Amino acid sequence: MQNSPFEQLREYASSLVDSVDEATTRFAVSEALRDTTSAVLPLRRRIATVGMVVGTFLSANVGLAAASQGAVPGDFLYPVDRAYERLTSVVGLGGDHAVERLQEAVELSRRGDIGLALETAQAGIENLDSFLEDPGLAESSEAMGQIAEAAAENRPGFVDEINADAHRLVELAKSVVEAAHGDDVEAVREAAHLMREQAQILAAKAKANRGNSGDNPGRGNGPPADPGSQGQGQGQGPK
Amino acid sequence: MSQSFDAQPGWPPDRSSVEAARFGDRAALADILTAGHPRLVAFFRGAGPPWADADDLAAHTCEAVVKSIDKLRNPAAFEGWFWQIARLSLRGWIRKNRRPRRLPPGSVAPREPDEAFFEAEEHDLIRAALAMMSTKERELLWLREVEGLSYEEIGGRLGAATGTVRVACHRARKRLEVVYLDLEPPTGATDAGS
Repeated sequence: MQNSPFEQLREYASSLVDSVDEATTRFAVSEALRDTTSAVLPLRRRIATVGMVVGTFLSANVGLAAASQGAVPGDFLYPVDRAYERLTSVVGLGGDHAVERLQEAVELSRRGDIGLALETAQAGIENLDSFLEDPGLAESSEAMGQIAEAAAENRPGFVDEINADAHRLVELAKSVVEAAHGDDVEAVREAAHLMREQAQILAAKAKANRGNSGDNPGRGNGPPADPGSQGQGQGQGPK
Repeated sequence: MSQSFDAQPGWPPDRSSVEAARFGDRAALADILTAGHPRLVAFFRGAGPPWADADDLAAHTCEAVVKSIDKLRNPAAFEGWFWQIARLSLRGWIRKNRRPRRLPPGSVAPREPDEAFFEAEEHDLIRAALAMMSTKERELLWLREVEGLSYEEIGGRLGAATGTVRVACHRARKRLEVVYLDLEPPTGATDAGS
């Protein structure tokens, strides 16, 4: 008699844990601890580093930086935009970029790329400092992921059906992020509540759409098509 | 509560260690991460990404824990908080790489030689079954069945009511059982083959 799948799962997990050698763990832990030590530089040194790095980089690439400013995921210059973000983060000027993610999401939504817009909005919400402490935001993010996934599967009529509602959801997410940056607790609560409601409605539609289509991988319908070949010609997601 | 596996001592960390880490005790934080890192690696490897990416994700999660541990308000909620960071890392990877492919039942061969070394044949069935499930189902099963988190702990961080998590876990368990049974070769078939 074979073990139950749950015993198998735990045995498999144990074997995966055992497969991690001590040296790998030691290295990962020391790197994680070292990273934050180096991130907290003395102020004077930080200013000098910021000045030198940003000055050099921007003076050499100011045109490119400006051109890439309004880029959204999938645009040619988007990787440049993200590279600048990473650079400013490294030198301590980056902020959490949640507002920028949401601006990109709104633009993508306007272009009709709902799946990528929602993924980008999701990334923006998860960027908020309060995300890890707020189950409501987590729930909305979870729902956005489900809707984005359903949109990426590109089932006939689904994207058209949810287009207006999804655009509103992205706008609501933007309001949440903007309110959070304005430290307006009441406005955040109100916008987050509306966003959550909207996300739940759309997630239910996504679920219903998937249920209706009868595509339920794992029920013996055969393997799903390669996700990379589906969707609406979306590029890679943010982050 | 389901039984959690206990391959690594020091996990979950006790409240005093978490408190100490929150207030800047680097040694306490190092101990927590040393116990948690292998579990993170296992979680990511089990979730679908290639092993090299799973190792990177575990390292990034450790960094995120170090950076935000001072923002953890309730040390008692450490485990749920820790796994929420892990989930976010995984979500980021999925967004970047699109969804990991759900492998068809026949495609369970390990992807890299080092994976082949560790991933014994005896786990092929459970790996194939996991590959047939959604990311969310895998996460729920892992947190509940492997890490032994309570429904409250899972729900608190997934942003879902305890009842919702209970139902979702129940469905995921049922689905794993069904998928596993579907994949399991009939007993007679193995005998006949040998």
